[in-house]
Amino acid sequence: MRPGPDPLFMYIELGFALIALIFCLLIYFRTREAYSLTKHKGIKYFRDAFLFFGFAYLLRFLFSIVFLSRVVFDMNIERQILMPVFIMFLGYVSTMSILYLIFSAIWKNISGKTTIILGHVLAILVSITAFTTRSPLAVIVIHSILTILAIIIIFHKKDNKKQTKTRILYMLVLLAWVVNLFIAGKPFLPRGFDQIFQGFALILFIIIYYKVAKWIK
Amino acid sequence: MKKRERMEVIYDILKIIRDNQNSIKPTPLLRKANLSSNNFSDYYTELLEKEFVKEIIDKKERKYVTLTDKGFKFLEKYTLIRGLIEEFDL
Repeated sequence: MRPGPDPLFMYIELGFALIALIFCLLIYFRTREAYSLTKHKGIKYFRDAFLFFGFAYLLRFLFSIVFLSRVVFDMNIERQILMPVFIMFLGYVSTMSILYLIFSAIWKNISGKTTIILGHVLAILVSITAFTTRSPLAVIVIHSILTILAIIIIFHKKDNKKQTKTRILYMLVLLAWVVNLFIAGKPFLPRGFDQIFQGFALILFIIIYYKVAKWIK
Repeated sequence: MKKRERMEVIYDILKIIRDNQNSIKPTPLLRKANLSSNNFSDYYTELLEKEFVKEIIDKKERKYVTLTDKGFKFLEKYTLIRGLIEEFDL
């Protein structure tokens, strides 16, 4: 039998989710002026990607709080009800965050509104599938496909050395996200394994924030 | 010659106005902006709508274009925003 969740690891997860949320929101709000002055679509999609990443980490944070309350205070919150709802919302916001990251790289080649609407439709389909199957499998599969697609698109563009570094960063963020989803709550993995990958994703968000902050005074 | 991007054109137009003691008539502005009159008209309308520039009519009914605070802000931030766009290949 698998041992129950360790509050210590849940506190760590809670902390990681909160810090990631803060950095995503910092990226979003600190680029507000750059967007409002230029109305540059690339900046808009970039901001939206981190806004949705922020929502995704907010959900993880809220879920961790609820789950921790259940463990620490022995509150009776039914996991069977909570989990599908959580996966549904997480599926939607995280799919949108990956799509917006892709849009930010290819905005010159897409027809704005139609593509965005199609993106929302795809994200809603993913979340409904995740909810009805009560499994994160649909989210993991779609995100893996999107990640591969994003890597191909992002690396296909002409670039210079600085941009290559940023693209590697994007790729690592997406990979870290998919790996995090895949390994979350897997009983065969040693304790703390999830947290290592979450810590890795967090470092990537911090690096992106500092790259943004360099240009936003 | 490399085609200027939209943001670059806006920067160039605003810079022309600023470098002209922040007051220039539309016709010399069109000439210095190095754009076709149709293109210039699009950009000019956009700049007015975005409130980067405003029109001033003097006592002799002559129209001048000047930068607003927002226009000055754009010029001030342009290099940094350009850096952000290039850094993230946006």
